[in-house]
Amino acid sequence: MIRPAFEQLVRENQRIVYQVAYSVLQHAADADDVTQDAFVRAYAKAADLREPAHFRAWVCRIARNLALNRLRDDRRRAVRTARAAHGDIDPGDIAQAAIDGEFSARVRTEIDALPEHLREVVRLCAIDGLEPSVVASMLGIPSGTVRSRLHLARKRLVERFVP
Amino acid sequence: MIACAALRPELIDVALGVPPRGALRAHLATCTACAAALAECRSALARIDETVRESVAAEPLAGLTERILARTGHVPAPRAFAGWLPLATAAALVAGIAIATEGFHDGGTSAAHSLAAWRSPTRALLLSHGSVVDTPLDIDSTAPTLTRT
Repeated sequence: MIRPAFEQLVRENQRIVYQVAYSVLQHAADADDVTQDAFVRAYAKAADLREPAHFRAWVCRIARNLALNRLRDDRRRAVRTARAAHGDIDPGDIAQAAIDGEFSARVRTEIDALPEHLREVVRLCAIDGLEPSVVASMLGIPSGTVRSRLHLARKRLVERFVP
Repeated sequence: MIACAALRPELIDVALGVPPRGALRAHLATCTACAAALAECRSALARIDETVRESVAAEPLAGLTERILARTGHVPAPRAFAGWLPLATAAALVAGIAIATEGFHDGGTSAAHSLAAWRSPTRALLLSHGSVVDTPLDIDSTAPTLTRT
């Protein structure tokens, strides 16, 4: 792949790819690492991409898989959780929690409690610029399944907040 | 007669965009409690959606593009002209003053004249093929020779 073409693809897609990784990891530095790794892999395997128009879905899928692998394997996540439990919390996190308020904190907790296949869809579909068709392509499921999972996830969330 | 409590799941579906069936629509037109419950569902849904959007709307750390390009062996192409223009202008001014001053002290003006006579090769890029150019521009030969005489 020639330089200007790849550079343009990076500039056009790096925010969305980063947010895909962030939606899984919920950690800025880890999402940054995964985004870099995803583009490096995409570049190395560019010849495998038969349809350039699908680059976004392809690189997002790579990022999502890398993020899931990191989430499952990375021991640092356990360390972070333990650190938070012991009160060693970043001042930025404290400020963020204060801004979020009780409702937002509850929403985040309820999202975390959703089954993975629903949690993933509700977060991916909330990314600005990531069309449902791309989400479907990323996950390897039909668009109708994305819509039904999104409906079910939002319904479960509303049920938790409306008496 | 519709029991209001039994309608709750349907009200949530309506809040999510599912068209209400005819009996429910008629009920909502007359039951203020169910209409209020529907409004509450819609409000909760809007706040939930906003919170989810916020939870994924993290912006990449600064320099992410450059880090990716560096790892793939690319050098980022120059971007904003305005970014380096002030530095380049300042450097050119300092160099011009230094050369002119040095030439004056030496009693000679050839270096300053060379600089003044030099036409940047980038000027050629600004001229279209149809533009009149006084003399053919050879980019390699347009650089001034700043030697003392």
